[in-house]
Amino acid sequence: MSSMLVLAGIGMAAIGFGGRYLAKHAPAVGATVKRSMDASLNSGAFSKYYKGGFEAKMSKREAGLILGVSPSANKNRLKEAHKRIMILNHPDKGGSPYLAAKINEAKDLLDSTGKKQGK
Amino acid sequence: RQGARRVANDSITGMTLQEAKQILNVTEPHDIETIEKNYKHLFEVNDKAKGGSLYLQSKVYRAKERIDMELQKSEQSGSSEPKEPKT
Repeated sequence: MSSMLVLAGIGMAAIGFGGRYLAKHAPAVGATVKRSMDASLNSGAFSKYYKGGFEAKMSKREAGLILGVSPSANKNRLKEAHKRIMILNHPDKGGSPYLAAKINEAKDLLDSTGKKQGK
Repeated sequence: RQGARRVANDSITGMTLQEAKQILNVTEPHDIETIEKNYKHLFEVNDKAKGGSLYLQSKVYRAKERIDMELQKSEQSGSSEPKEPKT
């Protein structure tokens, strides 16, 4: 069973390399290949997108995923990431207030963890 | 019956219609224009290649998927995936 997955992975990697080669040398063809690759990724067994909604109670893992940092990131890294993600998703610029709240919640959660650990 | 189908869709997707509406910042699931506009914006700002979070982009994608499901009037064969906006 796992060897099948390995083969599938290698196969997809091969397709990926082929697609990239095409993208460099024959842009139009490459773009089509990439689009159909993305489409097949999302309709088959795999999807590059995480499934489901947000967790009922946010975990440190989810907070890290939201901000794109490790849950044990230092305060500066955390601050930078929060700022970057919040600027992209700012409600005043067409962002979603719900997502903004989640972003803030993520920062607060990782911030409090950081404080407990000290320097 | 709509209620039962909605509950089924909630558990199939792991996302409630309510949360999908909140993510895409819409109050009315049939307001297709606003949904498309918000989806396109939110999907693009959270592009990983532009410093965004794939996790957040995924939630946006799944929210659109959930609302699309709600708007399907009849049973369709296969799944209908939200279109990734052309960048």
